[in-house]
Amino acid sequence: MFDCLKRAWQRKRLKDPRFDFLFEPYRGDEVVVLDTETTGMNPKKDEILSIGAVIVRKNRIELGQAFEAWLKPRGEIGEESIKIHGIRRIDLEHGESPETVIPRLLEFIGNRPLVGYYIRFDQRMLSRYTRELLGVDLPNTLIELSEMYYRRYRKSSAHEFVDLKFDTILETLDLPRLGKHDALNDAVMSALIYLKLKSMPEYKGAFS
Amino acid sequence: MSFNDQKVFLRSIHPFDELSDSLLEELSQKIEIAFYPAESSLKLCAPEPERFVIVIKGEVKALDEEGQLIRVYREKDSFDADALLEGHCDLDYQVSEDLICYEIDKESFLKLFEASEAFRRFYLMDIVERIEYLKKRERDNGMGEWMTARVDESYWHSPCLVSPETPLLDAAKRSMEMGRSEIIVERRSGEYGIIADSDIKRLFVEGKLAKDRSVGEFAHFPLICVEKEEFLFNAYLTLIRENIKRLGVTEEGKLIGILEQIDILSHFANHSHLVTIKIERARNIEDLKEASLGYLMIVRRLYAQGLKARYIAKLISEINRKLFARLFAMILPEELRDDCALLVMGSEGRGEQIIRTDQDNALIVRDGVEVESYTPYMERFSKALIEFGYPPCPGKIMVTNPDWRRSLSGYKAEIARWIEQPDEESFMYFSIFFDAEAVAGDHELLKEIKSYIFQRFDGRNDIYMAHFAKLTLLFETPVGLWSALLHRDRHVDIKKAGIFPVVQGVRSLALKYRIEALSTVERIKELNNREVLEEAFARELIEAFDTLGILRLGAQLQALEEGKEPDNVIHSKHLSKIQRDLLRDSLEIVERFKSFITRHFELDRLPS
Repeated sequence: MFDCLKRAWQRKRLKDPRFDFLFEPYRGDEVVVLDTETTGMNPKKDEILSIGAVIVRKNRIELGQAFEAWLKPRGEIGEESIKIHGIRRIDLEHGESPETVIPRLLEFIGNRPLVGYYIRFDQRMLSRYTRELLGVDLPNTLIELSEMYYRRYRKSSAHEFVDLKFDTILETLDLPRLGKHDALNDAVMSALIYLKLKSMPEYKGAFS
Repeated sequence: MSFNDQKVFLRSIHPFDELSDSLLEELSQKIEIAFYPAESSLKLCAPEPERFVIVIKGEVKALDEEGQLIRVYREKDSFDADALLEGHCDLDYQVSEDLICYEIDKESFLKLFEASEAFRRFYLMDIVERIEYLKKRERDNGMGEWMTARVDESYWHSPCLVSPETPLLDAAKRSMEMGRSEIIVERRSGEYGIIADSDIKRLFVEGKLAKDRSVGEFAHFPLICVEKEEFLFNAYLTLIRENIKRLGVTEEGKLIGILEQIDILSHFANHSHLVTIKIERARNIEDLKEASLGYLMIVRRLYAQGLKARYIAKLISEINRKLFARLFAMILPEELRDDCALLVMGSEGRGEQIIRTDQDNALIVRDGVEVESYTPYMERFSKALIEFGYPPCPGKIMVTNPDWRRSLSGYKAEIARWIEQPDEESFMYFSIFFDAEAVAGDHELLKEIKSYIFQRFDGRNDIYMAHFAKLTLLFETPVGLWSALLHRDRHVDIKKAGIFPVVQGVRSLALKYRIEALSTVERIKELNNREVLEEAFARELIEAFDTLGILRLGAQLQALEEGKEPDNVIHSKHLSKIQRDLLRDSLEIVERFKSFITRHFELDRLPS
């Protein structure tokens, strides 16, 4: 209910009518799996360095039409974050500006649900840019992989500890690591996690 | 996964490794990754084939209309090119383990077909060509190994080593005794020098030869040497560079042998003539034994060079026959030699035994000659063979057993008994004897028995022949299912599953059509000449038989290297992707041959 109101309110604030389609309810059978690499973990001040996204239709990842972009950051890239994603400033010499990348990304994802590993973080990061450009947060429905995973792997009580590390999930699901660690590869890996989890039944409790 | 990662993955799969960079680039823009949970169906063929699949991870089983397992696909396998080309397929692709795969649409796949010759060739080739092609590729991959052979893998000679004070005449005598064509002089300081036969000839012509002069005055210092770990190829380059004919082989600076140009060349060609020469020159049983032990090195070399199993077997059986004949002549007194025939039988008779697994031999003695007079010599003969590394036959089919040391008429009577009162044992005896070849003594004795056999079967004994042929089906050949075992730590007895059925089936046909050739390959060729087997099928059968032989040899050599007893068991986890494909294709051909035998001898009409 609250979500619904918030959506309607946001829709009114949209500065660019070309992107009104983002607010249309989605009726297809596709999702977009997305991952970003950032300068840090704070959506208020950190920046996106690269974005990878793929469309998943039914059981297929459309690799040929994958989305991949690098952004030129305004600020510095912290040393700690370089260690994580291995992207140095020099690698982004040819990075594009958010003004060109973000509209292209929005065209790509449309009003499809967004799937990701801690996708809310990516959504917040992206919303920083969409607020600036369009005056609204990214409105797409979110599907959280760690939650999907948790629902299938918790065994007994709802408070049981389940290791939700990305690599643990890959290992438990017996998925191969394809390619190196970057935004697009991680999006593809996330898509595989999504497809595999989707094919598995959820844990319904010991008494059902 | 970035386009680059995909290209790397695709490049690791044949025939995608043959595609140009731009074609791969284009392909990677068209590719999709799909996920299918276990127990789902790929629905690849309905309504018509539209996708080409490359397995990244997981397992798919292809089933025919009756639900029979045809094939299993695992990592890096791809399918179904035939269906895409023909526009229809009858197989059901069932996912047996969660599948992650690439999918390429039909249009893109066909485009690769048009664009790449290698691609087209790979998918269009019939099975024989495909086996040949894969073998060639495997051989090419083995090239590196070939180039990295080391000196100590080659054959070398013991040096004729003398001190500098040795009189030239004494040294020359010694080198002649050793069969060497050079004298090596060792100084107390550890330096080596050489006097070659050609030097002595030159000294003689120049009139400088005098009996009392010592070798130290004439030798060339230093002898050019290589360490035994050096690459043989480098040793060869040294010979060429220095324009010399021989090198010293050293181990930590100490001379251990002389390596001649011919040794290196024969290493790179084949090595068998050296052993043959050694056998011919052997003066006693000890010499023979030493020569005989060299065979394994030859086998290893020929195997590494990618020679077909049948050619390796041919070379080895020629060596063996020389060895048997020579040993026989050494042991048996001359007056006894012409009244008997020494037979090798079974796989040795067919010339198909590469690794020495047993000795099947027998003796025919001319009628009227006392068989018992051969007994002590046959004991010695067999004992020597065991020392040479031919294990005794577990079924005691050896010249030491009086059953296999009979007069000519004794054999005829025995064979008649085998045929008239067949049982499991007599079928086996008959099979082994049917493949006999005489290697020493009077070969006519065996010829007479062979024609007696063919006469007995002339137009008769259909039931015996059918029962004999039925042995072809004695062991299961794992087709389809076998592929399911390939990726796991499973094993198969390749002799029972593949080699024996071909040998026995072909032997049955040879009996029926009175074919005198002994080797399975020769028999198949002859069956084709007589239009019993179609040419294409005969070719396939020969290639399959050869492939199984080479796979078995590879496993046997590996076992020997690890100090284990060589057997016929192939472990799938030790096979490369190419070898797995070859094995799978070959066993399919064996299965088809079994069906042929069943039809040909109407085996399903036999009471079981």
